[in-house]
Amino acid sequence: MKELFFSKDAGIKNIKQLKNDILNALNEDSEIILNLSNQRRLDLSSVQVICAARIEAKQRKKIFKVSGMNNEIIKQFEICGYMKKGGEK
Amino acid sequence: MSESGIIEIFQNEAREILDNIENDLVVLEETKSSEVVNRLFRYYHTLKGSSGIAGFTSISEFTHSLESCLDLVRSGKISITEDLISILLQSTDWIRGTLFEGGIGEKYDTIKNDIFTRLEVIRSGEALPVSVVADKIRYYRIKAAFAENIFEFGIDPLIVMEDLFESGEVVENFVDRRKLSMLSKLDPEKCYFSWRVVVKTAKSIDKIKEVFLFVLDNNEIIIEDITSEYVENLDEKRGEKKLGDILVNKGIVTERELEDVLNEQQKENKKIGEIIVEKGFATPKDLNTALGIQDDIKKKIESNTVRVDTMKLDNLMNLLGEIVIGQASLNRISEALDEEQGYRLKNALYGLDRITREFQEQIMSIRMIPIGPTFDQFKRFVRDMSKQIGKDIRLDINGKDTELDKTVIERISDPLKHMIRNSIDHGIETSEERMNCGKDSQSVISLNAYHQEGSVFIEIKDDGRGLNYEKIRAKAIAKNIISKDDEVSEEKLKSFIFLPAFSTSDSVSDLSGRGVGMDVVKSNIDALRGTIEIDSIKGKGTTVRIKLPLTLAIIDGMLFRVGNSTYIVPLLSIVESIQPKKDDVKTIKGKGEVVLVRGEYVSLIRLYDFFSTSADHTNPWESLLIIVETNGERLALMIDDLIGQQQIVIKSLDSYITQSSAISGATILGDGSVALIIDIHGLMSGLKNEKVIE
Repeated sequence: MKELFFSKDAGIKNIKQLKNDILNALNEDSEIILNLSNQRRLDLSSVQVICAARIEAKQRKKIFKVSGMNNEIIKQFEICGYMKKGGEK
Repeated sequence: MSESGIIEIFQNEAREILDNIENDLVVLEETKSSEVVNRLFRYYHTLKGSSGIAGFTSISEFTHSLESCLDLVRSGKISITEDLISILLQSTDWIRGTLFEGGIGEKYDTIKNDIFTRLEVIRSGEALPVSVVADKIRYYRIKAAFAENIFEFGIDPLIVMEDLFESGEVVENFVDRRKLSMLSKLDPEKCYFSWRVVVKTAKSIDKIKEVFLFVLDNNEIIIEDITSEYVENLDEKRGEKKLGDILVNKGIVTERELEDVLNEQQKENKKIGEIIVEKGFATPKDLNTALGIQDDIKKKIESNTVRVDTMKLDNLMNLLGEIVIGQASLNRISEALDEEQGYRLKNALYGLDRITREFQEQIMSIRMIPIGPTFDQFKRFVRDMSKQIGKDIRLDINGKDTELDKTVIERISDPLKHMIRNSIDHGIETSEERMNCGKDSQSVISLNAYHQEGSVFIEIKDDGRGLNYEKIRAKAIAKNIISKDDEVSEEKLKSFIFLPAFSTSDSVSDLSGRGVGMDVVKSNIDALRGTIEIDSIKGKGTTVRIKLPLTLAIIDGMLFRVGNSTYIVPLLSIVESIQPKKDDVKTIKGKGEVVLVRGEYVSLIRLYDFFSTSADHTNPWESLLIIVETNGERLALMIDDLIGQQQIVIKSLDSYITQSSAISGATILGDGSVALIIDIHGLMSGLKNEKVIE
């Protein structure tokens, strides 16, 4: 299991970096946890990358989880049609 | 379906919609309610759509203009004024004319143009701050498809969507993420998401547009006000909402999970809910909640009513009548059987009778419809009439849910209208007169309906000047109905109102005063086997009370025999049956043959003579007399024998069989023979007319 931490200055400027970090982690481990605890909120590009990572992990039959989400991020995922209310997923 | 079928369905629908529009316009004038504005908007919208489908393009275009006008009302750009309501009411007349009276040609074009011109004046007029829409909840559908390169401009669409979600309650959120690929193939600097959101909010459309102010260019942003057509919890097609969609909308299951579930369902042929729970995407509790929502939606969609051709109901009633007749036949057969077999058959018939009665009650209940729509149609009538003659009148309606047989409802409308017209024209004073006698300047006409003792009562009450008995008396003297010296009770004076060509009005108006009407009203109510009575207090007002039977199709009747023929009299009309003494039967000049019944002479009718048939006896004292009563008047019907009472299914008779007003119909008896049903009121009227002719 590998835990990745979201960079503090994550966003569109560093989105390619985030993509690569996740892909590398997926190449190395069968279970990845992306920890968002140092993020107040996300931008859409980050949400898209996280969602695409889930698809990638599923295709590769690996586990990709997200942790450390605050309420604002949970709300953002809801807006993007992903989250269960209560933020369990 | 044939074109004529579509047109017929549309016309039926349009008739109802126009009735509703008319009522709501009158209500809107009083209440200025935003809810009513919305409802009206929906009516116009439906009318526009279905008229287009049915090929009535002119109506579709016309209603589109009216819909636009209502939209201006909703947005507070024009105010609800008497003028506006009048124009909109006139518009419904135009639609009716076009739809039902073949309204084409110059006249209708002129009216239409006039309506448009007047609407234009109102539209261009000074907009008043109407509070109609101030706190109104609206539904907006927002489609937001962002350009792929939007991030290049430093814009985060998620911020925009967050702002939108904060602008109200999001009741639908569909995120299209089909363009999103797996991470290894993703260009993370492009935007892949687009949204279709329905927001419920009190904010104006401009406020919603403001959310997208900086992304309007180069992105596909469509914002629509769908308040008039949107029903919460239903999808656009107003069809059944799928369980999966509900779970996704509720945020219980993600769309991706739903896709998985649907794929698996195709392979395994399991129920979707089952797979969702199995996969752990939702708990059984979540699933039950979603199923509950689905049920609620279904209930909303599945109307509790179905439109049935009334002919089918009538046929059903006729068939039931045949069953009742069949039962009567079996009853007769049971009497001819030996004791044991007869007892067994009667027992079986007893059970069947119970079911038949229940069946009958059910069918009768289908025929029962509330009187509300009939009452509602008078709102506009009162509004228009009172404005025409400059009186300030309010119509109060109570008991709208009171149900009556459909046929009764159809026939009661005209008499009610006439009586309301009488109230407006004669009963209600002018505002000035009312204020002079200490009354509120606004008068009230109340329509009330209620059930009592197995009958339906309808009251038309006004708080006007009441009946002027002196005037009625003077008119009766002038018409030689009574002489100057006659002492006539108020009850009797009131009955003169129902005489043909009897009017106390000094002048003839457009509304009433020709003395044509109340006699027709009474005839109509009599034809419905109803009664009418008037209570009036001078200076306080008048109440007209109509009593009607619940149904016209079945009556409790008394069967009796005259010679070889069987007749029926409605049980309600019978006072008693007697065998008179020879001395009690007399002939009085001008009144004919009479019989003394409890100190009062009652006209004697030899039914064998009246119906030109034979009889066992020709002397009244050897026969039986049935004393019947209608409108306070009594008659003694001379018969040979009473057979018994029975529920009677009335079958109407064509006019080529009989035109006698004394016969209201016929029924088929258990032995297959036909018995005529005597209409006591018709019989009495017929006798009076004969006297006049003599």
